[in-house]
Amino acid sequence: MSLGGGLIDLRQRRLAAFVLVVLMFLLLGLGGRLVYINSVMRPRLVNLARQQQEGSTVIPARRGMILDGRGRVAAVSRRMSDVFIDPAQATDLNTLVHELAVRLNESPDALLAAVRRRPNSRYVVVASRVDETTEEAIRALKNPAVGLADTPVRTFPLGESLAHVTGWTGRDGHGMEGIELAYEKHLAGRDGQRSTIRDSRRRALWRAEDGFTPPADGGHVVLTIDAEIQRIVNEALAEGIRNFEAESGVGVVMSPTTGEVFAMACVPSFDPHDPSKVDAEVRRNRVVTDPVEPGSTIKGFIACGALEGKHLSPHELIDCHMGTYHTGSRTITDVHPYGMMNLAGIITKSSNIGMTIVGERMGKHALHDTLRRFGFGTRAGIECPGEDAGLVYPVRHWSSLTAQSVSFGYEVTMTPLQLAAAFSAIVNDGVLIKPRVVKQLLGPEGDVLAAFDSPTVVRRSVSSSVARYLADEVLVSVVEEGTGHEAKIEGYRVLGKTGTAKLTYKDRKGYEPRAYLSTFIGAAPARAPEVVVLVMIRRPNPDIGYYGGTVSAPSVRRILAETLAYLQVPPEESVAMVGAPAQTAPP
Amino acid sequence: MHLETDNGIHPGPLIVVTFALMAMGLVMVTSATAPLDVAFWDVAPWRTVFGRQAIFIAIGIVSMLLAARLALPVLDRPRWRRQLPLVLFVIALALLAVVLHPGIAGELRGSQRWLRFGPESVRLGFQPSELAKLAMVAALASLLAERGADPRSFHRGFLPAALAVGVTVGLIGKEDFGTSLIIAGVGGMMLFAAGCRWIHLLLMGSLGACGMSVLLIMAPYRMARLTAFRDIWSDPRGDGYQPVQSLATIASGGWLGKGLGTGVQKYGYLPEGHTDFIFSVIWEETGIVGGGLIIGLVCAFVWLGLRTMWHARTPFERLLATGITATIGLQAALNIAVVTVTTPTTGVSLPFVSAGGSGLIMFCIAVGVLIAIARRSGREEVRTRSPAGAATPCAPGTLGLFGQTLGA
Repeated sequence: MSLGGGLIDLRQRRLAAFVLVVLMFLLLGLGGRLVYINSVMRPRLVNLARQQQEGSTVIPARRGMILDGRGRVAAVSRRMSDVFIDPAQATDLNTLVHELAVRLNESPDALLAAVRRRPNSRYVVVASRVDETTEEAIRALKNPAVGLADTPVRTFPLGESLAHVTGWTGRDGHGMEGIELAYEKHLAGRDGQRSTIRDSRRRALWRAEDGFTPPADGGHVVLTIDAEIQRIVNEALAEGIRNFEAESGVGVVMSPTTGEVFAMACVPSFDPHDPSKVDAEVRRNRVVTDPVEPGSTIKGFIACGALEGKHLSPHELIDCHMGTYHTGSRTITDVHPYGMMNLAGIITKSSNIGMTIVGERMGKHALHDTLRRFGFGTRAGIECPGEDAGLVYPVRHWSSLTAQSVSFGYEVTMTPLQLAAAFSAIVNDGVLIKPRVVKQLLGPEGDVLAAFDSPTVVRRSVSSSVARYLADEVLVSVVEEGTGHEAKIEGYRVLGKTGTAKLTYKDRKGYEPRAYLSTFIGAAPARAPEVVVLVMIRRPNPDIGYYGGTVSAPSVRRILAETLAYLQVPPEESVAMVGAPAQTAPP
Repeated sequence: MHLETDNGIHPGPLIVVTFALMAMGLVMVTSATAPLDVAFWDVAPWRTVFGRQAIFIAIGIVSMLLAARLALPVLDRPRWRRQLPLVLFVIALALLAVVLHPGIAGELRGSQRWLRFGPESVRLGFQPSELAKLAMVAALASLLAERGADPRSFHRGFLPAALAVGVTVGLIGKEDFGTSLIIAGVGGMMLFAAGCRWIHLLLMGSLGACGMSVLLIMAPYRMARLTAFRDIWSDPRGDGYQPVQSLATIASGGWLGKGLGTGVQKYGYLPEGHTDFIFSVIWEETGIVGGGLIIGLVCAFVWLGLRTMWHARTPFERLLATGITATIGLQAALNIAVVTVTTPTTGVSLPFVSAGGSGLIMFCIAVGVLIAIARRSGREEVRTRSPAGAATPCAPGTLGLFGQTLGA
């Protein structure tokens, strides 16, 4: 039976045993390889596995609202749904497309074409921003190949009226301009995330470890703006522009004591839901972004500087040269010829010659200093983005003519907001307050995170006595008996200053004939002004009128009348005191 | 160990180890194919991989027991054990030739390896190479140990055996490189264990290496796999995809595994997760516990096979036991080497564990033969060799009848 004796058997056994033992060691050696894989190679491999297995979906945070000072909604986000198809999960694309088409009120062919256009896509949007009824109908299909994707939609209930302040949001829901941009971080909140482990076809299997971060909804912004006053300003501006066939206009209503801006309007405006329809120029919040040469409205500030620096006494009479004044190489003219006038007279009649003489007497340093003290050349610091600082040349750049030009509002630029804030300083006893448009920041649940209750004092621009004299004596008489008589309203004394500035060409140097910027800035009631109102109307038809007192004062009158009534400011008892002797003695 | 005290070995541990491997396989194959969108009981059992595997295991167990019983008369009759292996071998070679002929065999993954029968819905298939593997082991045992063969002689021992190995490798190698590697390896091991001359083995080894090179060059995809193996990270989405995914599967399990049923790679990332790459899935879900158990069980199997071989009565049985143990051990080793990217990718299953019928049933039959050898162990040797008659002439067991006839 066996081939040889026991020796051969033993040899065979040993050889076979050797072979099999080697095999066992081979197997155990593979254990070493497994140790290597699980230690040395592990990090890279685990990383690869996680990357391919994990997928995350963003849970969008709800964007906060923008509210006006009385809680009216200026901007709010709503969730709407996009409908999409995942063709890879569709068992019967044709039937699906027909079912969808009926519910979306679309043709099946159009839907099919949309799918065909992107043959490898797993996410074909067939309808965007569908309403809730459609959403329900789609959901009722219970087809895994059809999905609804949340898209936040920003709505601006006040529309055009407040578009320049609120700004707008882009397609991704982020703020692009205005408060939407300035408070992006606060409004946007923080998106949450849901991470899932997925199979190789990207279908979710289960939640990943630490795979859920809840979204933190955005907070709300409460503006100082009052939508009603905003509406009043918008309508008054529109009327003014219509009446004088003007190009555009801006308006500001603010509290001189707190710096709160109640209205900030640019006309023409735009639809914040679709800002791309208009030019960038129309979309700019021109109240803060576009500096202008102010013209005669600057005279009040110069007068303050002159009195403050005791460059002249309020009673001193100045020769206004009967309308024509030659100084150096230049001739300055007045609209009407005047003889000897005191400072009040010069302002009331808005005499360029008188103001030039005052400015010459002050000298360029005092003029420059006065302008800077009223905040010109420095950003007012409002929350709206894109604010311009205006331009006050440093004294070393002033030519021999600059002092004269500045005295009646040229060679210096300021934004309408800066002008309104500086004017507020005069009526606020000489204290410059930082203008602001945001009143409160609220958390997502409406809890107050930050409230800007107390006014921020920038500086004292001028002494209280000078400011009172100018406000109560000089600027009141501008309206009572001077260039601003169109701004008079019943029941309240109004103070203000007119301005008519020539406009430069848009594309080259020099002043364009028959192009004017007509300004009126006023405040009421005179004893303790509640509001400062600025209206600037650009390029009125000069055949109809172009003086600030003619074009803009009526708009201011309308705004003042309606606003004071709306704010329920009691009428003054002493309106009869018009033209009464000065109550406050000048310094 | 001295032969005088040889009482043979009990086949029990062998059966336990085999059952343990099949049980683990059934659990892990089920886990690897568990669908998430369909309830388990909503699918007809024979349509699930679990159901099919359970049926295969049942058939395998029955085949094992039948083989254990039927192998005994073969082992005991010199004529049968001389001729039956060769008949089986010739049948296997014929089937291999049939599979190679296009049209009869079904193609799977670009390779012709299958004989198909039965209705399409049940899809039964049979891989002749699985039969050939074991038929060749039996044929080698017969050629090297029966009819007066002498392994040390070139013509009467080495040449016929080497030719048998060569023909089998040649027939399988074109379509199934992995199996042909195992067959070549097992053939070499059996020739070595039989005591063939070194010079002959070297000659066969060098010829075999040439043959393997030809097979490699013939199929472009094998070269691509070889290139991919050199640096799997050079193309992790192309040729290196499967190796990289297999390693990622193992690594994401870590030392202790993610927990049974919680693996992720099986959901479409790792191809063949329930068949050839089942070991990676096992490691991902059970870590060193399951992975170590598999390696430990296979080592235990080899050890038990070695003991069976050691105690076998005849050179034929010894070689048969060596061949069977080597086949299963080498295939397991190659499989684990492939999934751990120790060697280039080649499609061999993990014996008893991977999903699949042909291999499982054939291996069960092989284990049955091993059981039969174990049951016969110790008896005749003791009788023929014991000078003092110290050992009992007859081992306890039901098969004493055959043992006695053999002694004559």
